[in-house]
Amino acid sequence: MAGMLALPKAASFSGAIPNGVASNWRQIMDRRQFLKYHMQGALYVAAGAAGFIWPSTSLAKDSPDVVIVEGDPAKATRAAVERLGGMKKFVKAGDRVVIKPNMSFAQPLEAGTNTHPQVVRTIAVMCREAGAKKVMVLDHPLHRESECVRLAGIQAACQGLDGIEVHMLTSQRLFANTKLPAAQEMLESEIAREVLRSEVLIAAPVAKSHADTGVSLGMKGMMGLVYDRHIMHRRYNLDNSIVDMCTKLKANLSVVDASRVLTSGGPAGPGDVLLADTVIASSDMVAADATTVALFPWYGKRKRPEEIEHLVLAHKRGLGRIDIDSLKVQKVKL
Amino acid sequence: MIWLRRLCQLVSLGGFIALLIASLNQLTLLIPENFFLRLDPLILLGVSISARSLALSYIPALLVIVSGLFLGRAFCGYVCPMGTTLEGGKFLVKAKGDKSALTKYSAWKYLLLILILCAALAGISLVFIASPISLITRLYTVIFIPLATFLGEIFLWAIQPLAEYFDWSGLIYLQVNPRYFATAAFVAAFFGTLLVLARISPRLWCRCLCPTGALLSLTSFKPLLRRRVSDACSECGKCQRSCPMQAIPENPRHTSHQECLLCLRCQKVCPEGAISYLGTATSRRAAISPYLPNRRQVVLAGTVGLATGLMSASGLAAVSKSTPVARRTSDALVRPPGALPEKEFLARCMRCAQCSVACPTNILQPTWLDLNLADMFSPSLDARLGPCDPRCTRCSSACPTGAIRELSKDERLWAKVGTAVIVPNKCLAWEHDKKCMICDEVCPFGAIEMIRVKDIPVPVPKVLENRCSGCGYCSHHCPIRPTPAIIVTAQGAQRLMTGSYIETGKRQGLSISLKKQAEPGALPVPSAPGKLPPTYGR
Repeated sequence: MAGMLALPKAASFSGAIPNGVASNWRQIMDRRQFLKYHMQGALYVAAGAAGFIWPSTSLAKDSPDVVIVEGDPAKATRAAVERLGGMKKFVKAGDRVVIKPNMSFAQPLEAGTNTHPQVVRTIAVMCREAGAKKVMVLDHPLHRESECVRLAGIQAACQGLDGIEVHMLTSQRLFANTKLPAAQEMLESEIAREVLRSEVLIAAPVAKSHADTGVSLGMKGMMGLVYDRHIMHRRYNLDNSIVDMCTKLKANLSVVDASRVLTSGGPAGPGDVLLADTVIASSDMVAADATTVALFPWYGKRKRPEEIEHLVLAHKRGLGRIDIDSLKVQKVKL
Repeated sequence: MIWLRRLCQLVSLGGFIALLIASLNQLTLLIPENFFLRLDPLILLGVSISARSLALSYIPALLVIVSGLFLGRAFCGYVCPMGTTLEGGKFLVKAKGDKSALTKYSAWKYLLLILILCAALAGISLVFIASPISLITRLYTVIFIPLATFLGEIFLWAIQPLAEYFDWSGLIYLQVNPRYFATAAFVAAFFGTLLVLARISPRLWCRCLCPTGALLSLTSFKPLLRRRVSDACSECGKCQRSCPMQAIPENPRHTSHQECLLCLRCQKVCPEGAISYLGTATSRRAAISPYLPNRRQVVLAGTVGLATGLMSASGLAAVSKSTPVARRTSDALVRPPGALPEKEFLARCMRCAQCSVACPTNILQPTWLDLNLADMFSPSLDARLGPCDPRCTRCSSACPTGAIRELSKDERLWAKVGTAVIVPNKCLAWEHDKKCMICDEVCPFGAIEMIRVKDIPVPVPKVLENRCSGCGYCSHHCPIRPTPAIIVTAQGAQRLMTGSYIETGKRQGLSISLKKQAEPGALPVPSAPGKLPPTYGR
């Protein structure tokens, strides 16, 4: 996975921000490093333009960058992924897939703190249809595990589906200490072993507000695949360490469940829950988050992605794009 | 017939362990999880006296006392998991088997019984120092459960590569909830001592120290089922030497049934086949236990018991400065939800640790020397190990003596155990200007408010005391270690003997409820719900 992750940064950015240069806004580079980065960046761009690597760049010409679908959660999810080019674009036969929804609160669907079970189920089923060997739905619960399982309803929705499993990550043995080579602050982290042995990572967050980070979407949600989340609050700058984490936990596909949007009081609620019946999908997890931010009112106000610090940092560091006005967006109403 | 006794013992110990495991995993079996604790007549008597009320859940213990009339001390020899554990332990320590060693201390069990009952008269429950069932429940809880979960986790960790290779996700994601209990070192040392005693002489505990055995012996003077010796007896004395309880006096035709556990060893070793328990052989006169204490000893034991009770009640047995405060206000330790007022609670609690086993989050810990010598092992909440689930009533249903009131789910919610307090100079937001609101995020009651204050660039948490139930979610998840920046103190705990927690709480101005979910779509939004806002995608 690491190899796949490194490539799209340069390629999908059409050379505007070569690998890691713009991101080092705190670090001073020596000339040799600077040249090295630029050489690498230029190579990737050249290769990308020639179509050698990153086949999806050529596909991307036909399919949109971001899809916004309004409708029933299950149908909207399916439609959104289809419009992006279908699940086969992300999942190859025999792949292991990890889906990261929100299911860490012992609260019912109405609270808007957990992902809609039908969204998760649909993604999982589509992965299997695309030939995935195994689909693991994982989260690190904050409340009592059994209560989270019961109230989030995701396990119940995936019950009996062959090759699809829903598990809660609580034991430290399920995580492995992992170096984050592209990180700035948090140079290593204990990351779910299942992710490290999987080919595909799919973010399936519910759209919700967050008192610290503005919103909790695909990027912030990846904290559920990390063992020690508290250290990100305690030792590091939270926003920057989220980006550090996402350099490793970069979703290949992000499907944001905005069937309900917790527009205030997040991430735990209670807050204002907006019934939006919308699903946002993109192969760029930052763009999916940015689009979601612009789509709904947060804390009663309109926000632009530029106001969300971890999204801005992600853009600067080349993880994805928040310049949503220049993205190819497809809107569908079912 | 010894095999039958062994079978009974194994079934009983197996049942005891099975109930403990079921309790640990929140399973309800046909038999209540605290069944064995309810068999101990010492707990029945001691707690009834110290609490000045009859514990009705103790009817099984009454049956055990009555069983003395028919079966003698068969309970000790066939059922008691303490006896079985110590008997099994003797193989571990290779007991020398000097069966008559320390016989002169055989009266101590009666003295211990008198001491405990006299302390109970003073309102202090010392049952926990010697009730065999309380002790053995504590041993298995505090030592074996953490050991088992630790080894289980190591096992799963060790086979993880194999499990991943074969993709046995059932095994990979198998959860062993690790458990830790305070006081483990002391409990281990205590049982180590008992094992050493078992090495000196088997059944030394049952013979010399067990006050429940002493209590049971009071009704088993001449039970229906008892050792009978026929005229075939040649007085060879083999039975005398084999008796682990020293229940056969000089004349081997006699038996001190008050000491006899019906272990059947004498029957097995008798070369003449003169001993029977069911047969019709001539029943000789029963010998009164030769180990009854004399009057002077009884008075001494009673005085020591009363004095211990009075010392504890007066606070003279304090080992901590907070004890005198605690005596007045019940505010020293955070007790489980529904715990009676401190004095009543301690009078009933016999420190079996059954509530700690039943607790799904491990927050419920035996207390060590935090307060008073007589308060040792009583349960209190340590939020660092886990939060107290506001929907959970496991501890109260596990408690056999009613020290923790059984509450309905609604009442439970209002059974406030304490109040969270922020330690501002440790808090990431208050002191270090870092964005952290985990306490607010995890609080099930909405009792944390994030406020803006002057000179601090980030929102800071504030506890709404009338909404806080003291569950400790905030403290448990606080990133500051080892002592969190938000801690739960017993301040404001609701400790009611009778009456409704909801009514009392409301009268005091509390407003406790789980975070409510807002009505979906209630937010006034610029565009109709579901419509894309006009600012999007120009």
